[in-house]
Amino acid sequence: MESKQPEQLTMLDKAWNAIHGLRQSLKSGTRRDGDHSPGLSFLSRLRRTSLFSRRKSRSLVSRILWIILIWSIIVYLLSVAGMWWSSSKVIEDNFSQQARDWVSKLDEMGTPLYAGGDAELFHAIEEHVRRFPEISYLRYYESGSNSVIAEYQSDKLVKEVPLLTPSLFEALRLSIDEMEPVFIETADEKLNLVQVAAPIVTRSIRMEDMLEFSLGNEDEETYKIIGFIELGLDFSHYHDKLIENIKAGSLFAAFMLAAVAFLGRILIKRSLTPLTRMRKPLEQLAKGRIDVRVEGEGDEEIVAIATALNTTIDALKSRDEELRQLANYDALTGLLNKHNFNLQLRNEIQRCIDAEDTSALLFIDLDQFKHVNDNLGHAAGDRLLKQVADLLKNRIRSEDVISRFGGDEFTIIARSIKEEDARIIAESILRAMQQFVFVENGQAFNIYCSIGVVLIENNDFTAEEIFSQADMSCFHAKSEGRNRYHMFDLSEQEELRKSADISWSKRISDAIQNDYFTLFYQPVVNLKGNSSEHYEVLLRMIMEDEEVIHPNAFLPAAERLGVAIDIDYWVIRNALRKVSELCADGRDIYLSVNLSGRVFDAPDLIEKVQRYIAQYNVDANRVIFEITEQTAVKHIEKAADTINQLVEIGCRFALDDFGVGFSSFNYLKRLPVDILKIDGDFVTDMSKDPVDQIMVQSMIQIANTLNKQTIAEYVQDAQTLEMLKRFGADYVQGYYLGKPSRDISRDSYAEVLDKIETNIVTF
Amino acid sequence: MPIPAIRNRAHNSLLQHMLVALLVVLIVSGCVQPVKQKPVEQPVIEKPDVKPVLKPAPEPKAVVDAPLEKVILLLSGDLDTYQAVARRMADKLGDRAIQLSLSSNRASNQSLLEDIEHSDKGIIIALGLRAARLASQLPGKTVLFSHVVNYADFSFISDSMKGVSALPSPENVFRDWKAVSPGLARVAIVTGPNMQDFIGRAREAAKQQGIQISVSTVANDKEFLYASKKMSLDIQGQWIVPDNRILSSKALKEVMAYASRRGRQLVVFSPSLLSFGGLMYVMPDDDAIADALLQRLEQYDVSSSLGDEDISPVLQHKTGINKNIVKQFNLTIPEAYRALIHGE
Repeated sequence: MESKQPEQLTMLDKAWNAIHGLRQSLKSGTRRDGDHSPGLSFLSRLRRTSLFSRRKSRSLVSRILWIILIWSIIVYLLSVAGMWWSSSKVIEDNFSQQARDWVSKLDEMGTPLYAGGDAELFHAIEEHVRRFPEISYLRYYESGSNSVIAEYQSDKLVKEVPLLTPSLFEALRLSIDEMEPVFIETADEKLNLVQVAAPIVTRSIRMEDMLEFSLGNEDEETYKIIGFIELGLDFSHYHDKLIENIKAGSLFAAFMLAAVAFLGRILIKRSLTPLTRMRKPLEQLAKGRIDVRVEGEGDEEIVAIATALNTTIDALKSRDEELRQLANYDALTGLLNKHNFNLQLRNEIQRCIDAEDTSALLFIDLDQFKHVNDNLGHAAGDRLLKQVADLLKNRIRSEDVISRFGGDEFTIIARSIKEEDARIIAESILRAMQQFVFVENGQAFNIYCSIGVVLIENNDFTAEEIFSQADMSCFHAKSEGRNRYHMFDLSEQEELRKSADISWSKRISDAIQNDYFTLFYQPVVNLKGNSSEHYEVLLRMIMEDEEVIHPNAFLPAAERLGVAIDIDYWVIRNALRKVSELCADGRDIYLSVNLSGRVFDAPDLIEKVQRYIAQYNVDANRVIFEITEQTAVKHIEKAADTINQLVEIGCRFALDDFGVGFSSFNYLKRLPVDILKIDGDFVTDMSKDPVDQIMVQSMIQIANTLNKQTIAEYVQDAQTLEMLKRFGADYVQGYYLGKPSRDISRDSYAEVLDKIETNIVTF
Repeated sequence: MPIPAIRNRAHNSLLQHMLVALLVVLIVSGCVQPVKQKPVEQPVIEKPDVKPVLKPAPEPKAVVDAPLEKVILLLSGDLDTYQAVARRMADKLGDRAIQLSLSSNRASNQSLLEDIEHSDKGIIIALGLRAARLASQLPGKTVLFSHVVNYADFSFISDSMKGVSALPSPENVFRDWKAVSPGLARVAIVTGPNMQDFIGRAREAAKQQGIQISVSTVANDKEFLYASKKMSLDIQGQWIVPDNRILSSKALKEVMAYASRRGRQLVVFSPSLLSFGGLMYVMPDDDAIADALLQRLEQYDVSSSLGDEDISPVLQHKTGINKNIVKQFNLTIPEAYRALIHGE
């Protein structure tokens, strides 16, 4: 029973061989396909497959289906193995019992052979056993000589079966007490028989026991071995039948598993459909769009996920709205703030250009505000500002725009009006202010204002220029005695500007040619422990009288005169030369260089930068070009292209004045900048203004999310510095740490670092 | 070095042997009288209230003319049937009888035989096969034996050795069986070898009752089983003779079960077999055995010969009827046999 013929190897045997091979492979840690990498175990390879890898992106439905399929195959194999094992066990037990029964029956049938040796008797036995094909042979032995007295062999017996050996006879004699036949282990596998033998024993009751008979004293009986019986049973027919049945059962089970897997696939796909439907809105959400909704349907877990996502989206919307509110409106008066007003002004200019319309900008400055603030305190000043804001709001139309520009300055954009209407509005405001009385602590104050009015027409002025005109007109009104308005006259501006431009043109030209420009260096300090020196390069012009001129004075003229790009080249060249000198001196130094928007139109920028870098033998990584956010967004396509080319060289980029325009974050993805330089307006009063704190913190978080570093400029005090540390800013810069200076010594930078390390602020 | 327990047992055995030998010598020489055994409680013996076919054994006559030979009652063991027969004989023989029992110790038995052999003349009544075999080895001794079925196997029959049958009288058996089952016409008997005398008597007795008998002689229990099954095809019943040579518990059970399944009546030799499907049991009555022995002894006293009859029949027997089987076969028990029904 235990031995198997080679041709009887089943699929299960093959599967077992495969598992055995797998086990060996696991033990040795080698691959079967010839890759004998010792360090690569089977399990690690298995984990690296797409099914079990967590790193590889794979459809959840597909993964679940694969797992179900593999699990089904495992269950199937285990079922078949179990079926095979249990069936074999049952069959084996059954065969053993059949063998015992046959021995008992043939023992009884063969008894007469020992009485008289009647050949006819055995013929009857032969006829009987011939009807049972499983009996391959049958032998009766004599007890004394161990010789065969009768023998039967089936026609199907493939090979002569050897007679019982003397040792087996002895074993049979010894087995008499067990009353069990002896199963013979045959070495000849070709026989494929269950061979069994038993002694033929006669028993008799003792005479004494007969006289006082009691049925059951079998142990007291005497016995005598009169012979032996041996027979071979061929159960291969039943064995083959068993294998056929198992094969059929396996096929049926495989079919059922396939059917279940198919149905499971349909059910799982249907069940997970709501989950897959979430993919698109989630992708939109990942891109920053928060105007999406996630549909929740199906199972309660999926509904819960959708609900949670929608709640998160609502929270993001709410926070986004809150941030927008904080970013666009003045916390004290509720009017638009400076940032938003600038945006509105630009939009209005563009609208007027597009619609060939005319609007007006009114710049309002309170005349006595400083007096109120100084005498009654900031709280009273704030109350005054709120009351003035309410007054002004009531004087404008719904389509007009009003903002608190800063301090006691208010601005109004009056849309679609002519000069006369602008004058009427200005006079109306003056009258309202003249009638306004501010009462504080029982004291009454008359608060007047001066107004500069400029028309927004279809001309070539920028927002800054228009604002400057309004500011100038307000100054003019104040200079004429306050409590009045001044309408800006274009002829005055043109004359002024032309004269100024002629003057600046000569000066800029001389400065470029004669190096009247000079570079100032303001320290930029790393808050994360990096001790490398870092400065922002700032351009200054030196006048004949050694007066240092700020670039705001000459850059607008340079822009108009088209020489701004020459200034950019001068700054880049001299900055690189400086880096070269300092590095040669053993300094670990980095310089930030500001670029104007003109560089994006310069066809030879990249070539020149490469030439300068080569000329001064400077590591390109040590130069960080700064470009303002507004400039970059304005020339987004060109900016992205130029930045990419410079980054390829090795230079780095910082986005200056970040947050001013509050542009879409999508732009950030398109600009490969390394650093976001938070606009100084957010930082200057940050220690006092919680809105600025939130804004700065948010910008730092955004930068961190985008894996970019941050520089906070205009740090004016220790509290601001401490806050920036807490918010996680990477670099800081400002007067508190160091003013722009020609001094770029190692000692001065060390002093700045000391200030960072010893900065202790108690709130 | 012998183990103490075994050594003590050997000493006890030797001492016992010497005392028994001394006692036998004293008794045989008439110096002492054997201790009369205290009567034991008599087992309930069921006797049918029917007249026996053969004449019962006459009461033994007292011998007064000359001193009679001593009678040695040699028991093969302490079975109740030996004791019952010996007790009845001792009662009848009085001081003339000496009762001796064989033990399980072969040396002790041999010594006992030597003592008997060297004693004066005396008749040995051997009860059981062991006693008969040992007594047959004693030269010059007159032996009567009982409780031996296969006496022919040992050639016990001679002029100085005769016996009493260990089997119930076939005449009685067939008479009672026919009375209980009047339709009985074909029965079978399976015996061991050398039972021709018994078979002959059985054939005659069956014929007298109008019963056709099939007889098979077999050598062992397997053949008994085989023959019984084979013969059961065309018979109505089988008398299982208490021949220990061909019977084993297994074969008995199987034959009885086989016969029961096929509706065959069985006459068995022990009441314990009724519960296995026997219709009735028949076994020799102990008193009848004793009477038969006494009758042969009386004959010997008169003629100094045991006579021509090799084996004396036992004319009375104990019997019982299985009520359940009677119902199964739908038999009507005659009034005279009602008292024999088991289970009433």
